[in-house]
Amino acid sequence: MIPLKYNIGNLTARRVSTLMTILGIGVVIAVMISMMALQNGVHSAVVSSGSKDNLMVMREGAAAELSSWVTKDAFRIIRALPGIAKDSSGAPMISPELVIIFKIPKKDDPKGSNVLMRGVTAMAFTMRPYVKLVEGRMFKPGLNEVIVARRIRDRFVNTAIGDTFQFGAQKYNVVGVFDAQATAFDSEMWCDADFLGQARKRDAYSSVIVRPIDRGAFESIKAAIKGDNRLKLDVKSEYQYYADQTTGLAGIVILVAIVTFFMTIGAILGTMNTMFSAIASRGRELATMRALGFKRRTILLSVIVESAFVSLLGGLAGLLLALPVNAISTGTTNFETFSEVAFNFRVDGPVAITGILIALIAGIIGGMLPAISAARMPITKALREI
Amino acid sequence: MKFAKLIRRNLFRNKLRAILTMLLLAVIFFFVATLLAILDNFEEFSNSGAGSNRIVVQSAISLATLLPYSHEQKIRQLPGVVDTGKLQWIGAYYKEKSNFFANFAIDGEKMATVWDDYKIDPKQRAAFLADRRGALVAEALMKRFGWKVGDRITLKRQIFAFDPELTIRGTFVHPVDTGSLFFPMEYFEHAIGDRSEVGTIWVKLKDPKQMAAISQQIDAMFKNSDYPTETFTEKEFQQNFMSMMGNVKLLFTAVSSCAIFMVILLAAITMSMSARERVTEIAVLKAIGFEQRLVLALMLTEFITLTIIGGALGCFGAHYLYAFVDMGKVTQGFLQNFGIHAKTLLICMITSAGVGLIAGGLPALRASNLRVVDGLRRVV
Repeated sequence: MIPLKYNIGNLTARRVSTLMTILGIGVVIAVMISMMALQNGVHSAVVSSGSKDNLMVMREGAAAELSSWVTKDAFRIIRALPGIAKDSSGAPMISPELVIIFKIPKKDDPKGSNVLMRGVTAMAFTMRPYVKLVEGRMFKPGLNEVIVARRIRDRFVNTAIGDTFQFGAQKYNVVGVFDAQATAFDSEMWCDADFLGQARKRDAYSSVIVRPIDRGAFESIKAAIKGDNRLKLDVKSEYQYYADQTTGLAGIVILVAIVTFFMTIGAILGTMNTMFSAIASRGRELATMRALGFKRRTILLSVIVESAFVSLLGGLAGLLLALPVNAISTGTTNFETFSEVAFNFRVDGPVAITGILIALIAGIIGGMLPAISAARMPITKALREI
Repeated sequence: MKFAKLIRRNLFRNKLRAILTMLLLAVIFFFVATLLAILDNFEEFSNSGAGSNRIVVQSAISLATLLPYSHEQKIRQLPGVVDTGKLQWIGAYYKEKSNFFANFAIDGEKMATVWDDYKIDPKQRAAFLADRRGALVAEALMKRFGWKVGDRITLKRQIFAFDPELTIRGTFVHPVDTGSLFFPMEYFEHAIGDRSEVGTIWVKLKDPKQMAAISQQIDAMFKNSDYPTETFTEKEFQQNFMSMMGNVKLLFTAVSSCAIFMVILLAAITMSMSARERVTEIAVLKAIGFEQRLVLALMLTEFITLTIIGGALGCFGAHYLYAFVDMGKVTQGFLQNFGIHAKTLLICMITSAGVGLIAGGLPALRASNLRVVDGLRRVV
């Protein structure tokens, strides 16, 4: 085994090109990490919403809440089903919700995007305890008051507390701001369900959320609703509903896959190239080591270790370069729901580790060929080289 | 030109290194060309409505809100309007959810007046108009799913509570729209229970210059109704969809710039390596009378040739690959008519030359500036 000190010595001797390699690989890994962070952010903004404990009832065949309706009669039938959990005050945990999208201008784009307005009752907050009012006050039932997710307030015009916006004849007053811990609800506005129904002349709900007492009740309520031919409703877990929504974001997944693929190849070719240069300039040195009795295998390993070390440093540099994107908050449209998904780029543990691992693997693969050619170099020829 | 051989020999003095560098450039420029082409593709989609003198009326509230039919009658009476037609996005898919494509219910008889840019065989048009459950399909879409005229197909519901069961009655050709299916409005009305509401109303105007004025007139007319409208030119209407995706342009530009920056760094390493190797040689050239400027020019030409070859491999490779492979099929309809334009090729070639100049500039300058004695004395 050749001591690591030798490799480090080599790297410091070629300071400029080592730094450039680290920076080059760093840029590649930074791009990769940023793209993964984007996907991660969008994904968690959609998928982490919804609880596995809650059932979501929608019209048969409706892909999203927007295209679903559940009549008030159906709601009453569901509410009467046995097995629904009760909250601390004894009220059944069932939340009828009405969803409508509104096109609202963005701060950086006057054309605007579709933002989802969810009409709810107080039970919606009991069933989703992570939705918390952070500024202002709660809307009052029956009034034209709305509360707005912080991420929407930050990116759309006219959505701060005290603002008013208008659709048709109806005015909507913003009275509060809420935070939903980076779930899908962080891309929404909430108001009273009855008020929204009247304002938009909708005499039905979009969906009904039910919390069963236990696993058994979960299945029996599901079966009861699906089996009732009057209802023509479909039931899935709230979690599953949001997981299914990611098909509307397939474009991002494809993009991330393309970027990762090309960037990995780039990183491999990059390390290969620099490692070839690195060993070319020290052919005599390596030959001397061979002459001193170091085995081919040892030389091979030493070159690979050096290459892996450089790209590991590159990976770390990339992580450092990519960290600032963590704070970026932006949005895209989920083409499944045609509404805005507000998200933050998220560089978390798995993303960071994946980025660094890819760097390391690229380093090892990239170092392989140069290492083989270094180990194979005929001693006499290399020693004679000037 | 008399130095061509010298440059060529120098270029490949270390074959492996030259090939690796070219390969790196090829991969990165393949990637950059692809990203640019995707942007172009989106842009084309946005501009697809540019030449038409149609405007689109939709609800100001949101995409998902429908407009009452009475709006259409009022719009048709405005001066300057040739005709109007209703179009409803259905959003159904064929068999699998991944077989997503554009499908609409349309006022069939209005395809002759409002949508007169769709080329349809007269016999097929008549057959389509005669069948309440007929379908008119873009030729490229027919190919994608292997359909034939006369086939019966069933689409699966996504938005509205019915699965359209259709018989393909004809095909159409349109310069931009290569992926849509249309079926009659009557079927849609019947299936959802006649609500007399529709997503968009398309308005054909006599004079394209009147687009802005009539749009404002329409929006003003319905401003205080329960169904306020927002009227766009066809181009703006398409652009709205693109802007919904978020800032794709910024993202792609940033990713491309980073990729090119990386290539410059890594190319610079190899080039300085290759310049350092031949200081003795350069000193000899200078000693026998080559001017410093000539030496510099020779080396730069060599480096730029290297990067141009690499870049060309990448972007022309992409160009031919996409011409050969049907990307519409591969991406499940996400990229229609996908290809790399001459403009993108040119941008890539210029950039790759720039990479050579920037990465090779300093090493070439240093090598050519070396004093002859130093060069000859130095042991490499």
